[in-house]
Amino acid sequence: MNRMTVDFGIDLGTTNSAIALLKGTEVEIIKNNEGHEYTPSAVFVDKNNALIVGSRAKERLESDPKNAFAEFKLQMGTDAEYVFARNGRKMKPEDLSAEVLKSLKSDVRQHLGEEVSAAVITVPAAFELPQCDATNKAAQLAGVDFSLLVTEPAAAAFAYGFQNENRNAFWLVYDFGGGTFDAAVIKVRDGVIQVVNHEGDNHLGGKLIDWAIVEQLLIPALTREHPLTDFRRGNPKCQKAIAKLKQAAEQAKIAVSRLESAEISIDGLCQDDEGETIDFECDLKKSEVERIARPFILRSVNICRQVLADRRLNIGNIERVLLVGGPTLAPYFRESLADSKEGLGIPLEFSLDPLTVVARGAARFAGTQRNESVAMQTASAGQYVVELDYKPVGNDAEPFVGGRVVACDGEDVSGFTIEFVNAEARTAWRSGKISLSPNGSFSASLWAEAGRTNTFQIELQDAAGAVRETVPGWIPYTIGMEPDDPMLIHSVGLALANNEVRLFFEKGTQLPARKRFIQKLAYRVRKGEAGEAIRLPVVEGDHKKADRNKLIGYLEIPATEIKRDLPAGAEIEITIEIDQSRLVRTEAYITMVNTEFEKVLTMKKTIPDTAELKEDVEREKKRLEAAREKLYVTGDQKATPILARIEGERILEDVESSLDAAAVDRDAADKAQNRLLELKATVDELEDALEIPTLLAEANQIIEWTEEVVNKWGKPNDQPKFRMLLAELKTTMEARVLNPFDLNRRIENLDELRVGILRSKDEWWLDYLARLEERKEDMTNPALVEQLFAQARRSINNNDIDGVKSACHQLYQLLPVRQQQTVGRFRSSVT
Amino acid sequence: MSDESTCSLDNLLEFLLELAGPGLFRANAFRVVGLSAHAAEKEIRKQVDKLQFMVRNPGNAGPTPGPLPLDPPPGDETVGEAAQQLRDPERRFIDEFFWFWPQPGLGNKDPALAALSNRDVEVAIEIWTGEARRKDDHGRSAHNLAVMFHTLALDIECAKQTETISKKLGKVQYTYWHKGLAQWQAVLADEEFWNQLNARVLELNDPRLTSVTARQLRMALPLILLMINAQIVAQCSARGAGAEAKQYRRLMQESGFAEDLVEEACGRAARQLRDLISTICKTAEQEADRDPATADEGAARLLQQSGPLLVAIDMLMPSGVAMGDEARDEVATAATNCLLLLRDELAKSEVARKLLEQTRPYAVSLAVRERIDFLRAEFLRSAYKVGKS
Repeated sequence: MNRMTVDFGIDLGTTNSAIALLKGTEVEIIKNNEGHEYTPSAVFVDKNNALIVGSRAKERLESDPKNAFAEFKLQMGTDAEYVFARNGRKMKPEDLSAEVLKSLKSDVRQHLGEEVSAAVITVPAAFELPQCDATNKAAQLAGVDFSLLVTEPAAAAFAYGFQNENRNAFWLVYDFGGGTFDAAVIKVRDGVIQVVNHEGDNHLGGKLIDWAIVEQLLIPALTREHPLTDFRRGNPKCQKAIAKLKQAAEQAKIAVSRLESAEISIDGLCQDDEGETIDFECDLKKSEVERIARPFILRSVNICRQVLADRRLNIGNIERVLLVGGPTLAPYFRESLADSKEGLGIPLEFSLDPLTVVARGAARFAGTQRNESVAMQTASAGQYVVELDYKPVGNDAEPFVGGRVVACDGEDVSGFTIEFVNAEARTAWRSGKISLSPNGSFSASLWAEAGRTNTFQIELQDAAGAVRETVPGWIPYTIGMEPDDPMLIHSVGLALANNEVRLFFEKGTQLPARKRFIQKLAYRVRKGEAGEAIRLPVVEGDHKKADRNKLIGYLEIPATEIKRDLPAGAEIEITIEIDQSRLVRTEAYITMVNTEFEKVLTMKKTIPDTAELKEDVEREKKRLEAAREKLYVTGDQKATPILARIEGERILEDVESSLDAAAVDRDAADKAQNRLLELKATVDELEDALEIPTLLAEANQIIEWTEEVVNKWGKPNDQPKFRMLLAELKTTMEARVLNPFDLNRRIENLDELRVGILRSKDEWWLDYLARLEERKEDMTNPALVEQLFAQARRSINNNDIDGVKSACHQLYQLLPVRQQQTVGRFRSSVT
Repeated sequence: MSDESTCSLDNLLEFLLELAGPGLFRANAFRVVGLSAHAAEKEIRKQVDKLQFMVRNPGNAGPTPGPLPLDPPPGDETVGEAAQQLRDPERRFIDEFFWFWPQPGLGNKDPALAALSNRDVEVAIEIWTGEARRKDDHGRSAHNLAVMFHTLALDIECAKQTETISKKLGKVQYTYWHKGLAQWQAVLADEEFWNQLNARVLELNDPRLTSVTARQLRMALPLILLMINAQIVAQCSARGAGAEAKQYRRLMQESGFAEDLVEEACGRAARQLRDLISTICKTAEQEADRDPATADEGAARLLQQSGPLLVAIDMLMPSGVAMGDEARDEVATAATNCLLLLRDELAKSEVARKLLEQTRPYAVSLAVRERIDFLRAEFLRSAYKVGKS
């Protein structure tokens, strides 16, 4: 069946997936062959090596964890591989997602006899660009030739918005899914649904609560009763037993949403230290689950409040909260959210099933999108393709339609006319004949009736007035709720060599979007040099420092493709385009060699290396400690709440516990990386807030020290120098807008005078030598370093102060040069 | 007033001042899409669709042009950015304020706006001068005249970037400036107009917009207008057109706005240049660090780029020496830091010494001067050695 609009919507969830179809004005959820409206997103390889998707696969997660996988959605876009032990088959997350999509497609085939070749697929709002790219790849692998991505909260809002065309209100979508959380502010006005802002957390969802139940309740209960050494989530030996506990926790959690308590009983869970088989039994109380879920709900509420505050909205501006996701079915969840102190205090809306609302909304959205797979079809001899540029659904009774007529044999269409005819309208309507421009393009305003799908026949006539056949022969248009263009969730920019970001698109930019910028080469690139390249790292995130954001890929031009040497400062024109599904295309043009390099950005979500993460965590701990000390000294009021936030949200502890689980849980490493980036950015914020107060404190200290040194040991001409430098420093300290650069330099100037005087004193050189010794490990050439320190010690013993000075001078030269400190983490080639 | 709203207003003021530049009216989203300021969202969406289609298919006749259409017409990227701007209620409100307000319900069919779509300025002046006397005008016509004169003056300023304009046109431009600023003064004093602006806030019916937004706009308006001129002073000085810069400086003083506001506008424009100088210095030092062999080229480029900017700072702040002095010291320090990397490059000693001579007049503070002198002597010794060998 050739659909003019996409019509199929798929919710490709972490835990469950569903497919829906828009039929006229109604949405139908297509049930799977077990009669359920949703299919578990799990894949299993059976004894015959057949791939099984759905509830049968989910059941095997516990009994046969080496041949069944779930929650792979969270790994989309990474290089992660899932290996089925039975046949050694390796599958990437997008391959597994493709299997889920194929299963949904087959349900449609079975029920409707139709092949799904175009669909709208939903993704979490917080999905990064490589994850969106991987979702599109999964669609292609599943044979969905034309796929459009829409965020889950936007889809849910569309499902509700369709019923409320005449409203003028703001809504908040609260989407607490299996593995991800999304919040979105939606504006419904004049028949248009606009996503005003959205935010999410890829590591917040029902499964986090399940894990907390396992770690905080079940494992302690188990180890209290049985001798079990090192029984923890991070221990690979316990993986199978822990998988069983997790599944039991999930079921019991659902049960206590209706009952006061639920019994957990697992026969043959594992063997204890003495080899005895353990049959585990435990009662899970509703109050315990509520206590465990509270911090997760609080975090989600904080995200909601932030998403409102970012757009200068408050709770009172929101008409209602639309609930999405399985966990929101639980009464305690709803009570917490409705609470005006701990929750949101906004009326909740759950008239649509929270498990299928995303798929329903996706189908509604799909009905507003032209089916490009039909549009791309070619005409047969004698026919003319009409390439259309219009919206099939809109709030305008006189919609604009643009397009271009192309003859299949390249025939000139000069003198042709096109006409649109709405013959089924109460009063038949014709657009009148519109002349085609020399390249075949045209534009027209149609006239549509409300309350039905209008069908406009296309009548093409040649210069002689003969009617010619077109593909398509008609177009549909419905007056109805219209979705606004999707928007970018995080800012996208280019990482520069100095670790700053050249912003391409700000968060909230409507898609599709395109921008062009000129950057300069940071260093010389030699033509044809193997291994050398111009590297343009593209990052996603909202932080000023490049390495605080997520690297989504490189546009790389190998030196072997460059015709001549390029000096530092050579200009590169960079163009970046992001389409509606958040796919990125980049282009670079090097003026000096007049060459264009067009590349599809190879997007990859990096799997974090746990050893590197651990090192990073240690570095951050040190920075945090240093900042804490500075805050203690300055007592700065702006910095105090920032430190309180780091401590209150237990960011550091969260990073460390996720790192511990990373050995057995792929998602935990990703979570640790995300939280670590959050920690780094917050410590940056803390350091920024402390910069000026610290410099002012330092300035006062240096003034005091220098005055003392000048008075004690200074020569006569040091006094006027001191007064002049002091006056310069004071002017800078008292300026209305303090400039840290100027302040720092004035401090250095004064300090130079102090050090200059002190250098005439032998004690200073001994102190300097001691300070150099502290930095010994940073110095290059360790053998020479040892030799020079030995020389210095000998000189001290011989009362030879010149020998000490000479050693100090040489040691100073062995400290790392500034050049090494300025190279950014992403090794960008441009400034 | 809650802390939250105070915070938002502080940001709004900063945002308004960021917009305040010679491109204010050229970047106005309503001008880009060719609509009047009160166009409905539906109308804007349709117009954007049409414009984007026309950009992709240039053979087709575009929609009817709006008042004072841009020449050349905007490209796809610019139209997209304008559409983006208009989705943000505060940004839309600002763009509305700085564009033509039609008679209620007429949109681009307002006769004065229709005249301006053909660039018929005289007809528009005649219509608005007449309408200004009507009781139900509420200051709308004076506002439109202010926008028109200001836009025309800035369009001529924009043309100056690429061509030399005739003396006659220069005089016309000066007249537009005077008339524009006088009209804005009239708008600022007209309570009825500001009541209309508040009524517009209510009409837009978005919780993100309040009467406080309108009040903030009113408070910021004089500084915004002066900032535009201050930036032109900076541009003229930087391109060596000192006389023109002085003329614009005078225009600010004669504008009727308070002297301390004029100084603040100049101070802010100077601070922007100061920040630009800091960036240039930092970039030069980073480039020299990465490729020390070309440090002399970097230092020369730094002196060449920052020279005109320092002149512009002096023009903007003739009496306040601190900012100019600090900037000079920073340039001198950065150039010296670059040249320092050539200490071991004997072949470049003479070049480096000469560049230090050029750097010396920039240095203001004692410490920076001493450092240059010390290094210059070192290079002189090296140059002497090279000469001897």
